[in-house]
Amino acid sequence: MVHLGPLYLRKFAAFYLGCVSCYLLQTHFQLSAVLASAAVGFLAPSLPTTPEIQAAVAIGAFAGMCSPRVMPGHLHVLIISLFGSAVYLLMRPYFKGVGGKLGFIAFVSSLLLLLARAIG
Amino acid sequence: MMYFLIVLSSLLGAHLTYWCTHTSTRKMNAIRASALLTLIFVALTFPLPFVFIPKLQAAFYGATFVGMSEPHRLSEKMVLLASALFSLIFCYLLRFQGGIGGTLGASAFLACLLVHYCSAGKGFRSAKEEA
Repeated sequence: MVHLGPLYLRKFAAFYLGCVSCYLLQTHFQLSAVLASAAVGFLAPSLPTTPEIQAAVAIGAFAGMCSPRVMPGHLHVLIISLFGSAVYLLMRPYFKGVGGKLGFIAFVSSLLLLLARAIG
Repeated sequence: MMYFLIVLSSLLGAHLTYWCTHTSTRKMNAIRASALLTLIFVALTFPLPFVFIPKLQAAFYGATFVGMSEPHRLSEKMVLLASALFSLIFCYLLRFQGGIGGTLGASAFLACLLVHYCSAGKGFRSAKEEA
């Protein structure tokens, strides 16, 4: 249980990196969501870290495909990263090897962001 | 025409990703294979003068998630079946306004789970019948 804190922080940092990169590619460089996410996803496995952290960057890139209507600012990128890394940590032992698992985690975190926005 | 091309690009995306990840001699990282194939597909389809090209690119990218499945979960044929199912889900979702990140992945995940559990159920029944 004690080791979950640093693990969560590493996943959060990786998720945020992927998400903010995809977000910036879309908003500042006017790339399409697919192109931005694929570009980040292509670079993620090159990072000198564990495959789990590389996957967290890729999930962040999938979550970063949200339109500006859903994720209008950097604060929302931060919130979605908080949710996404927690969901990834919880879902880690389940559905190993099933295609789309990473995208599903991104989808759940996007829904949680929408829920948080609706409540707040 | 558009729906036919969506199904076709989904089948292509899933099959190529599965091939690059598991079948080819130089096995690639699944995330990199998915991203690289999508970048190539986007580069090839970008100059085409059709309004539905972004939808085709999204379908291809989503289908590459299906192709990221491990062989112990989905065989090559089941991946093709899952990608066809994914394309149907994708065509259904086209009528809604998108913008939620991970929708493609969630659709791929749903398609993979359905095919995986249906095939597991079939295998279980046939084993029972044989007994």
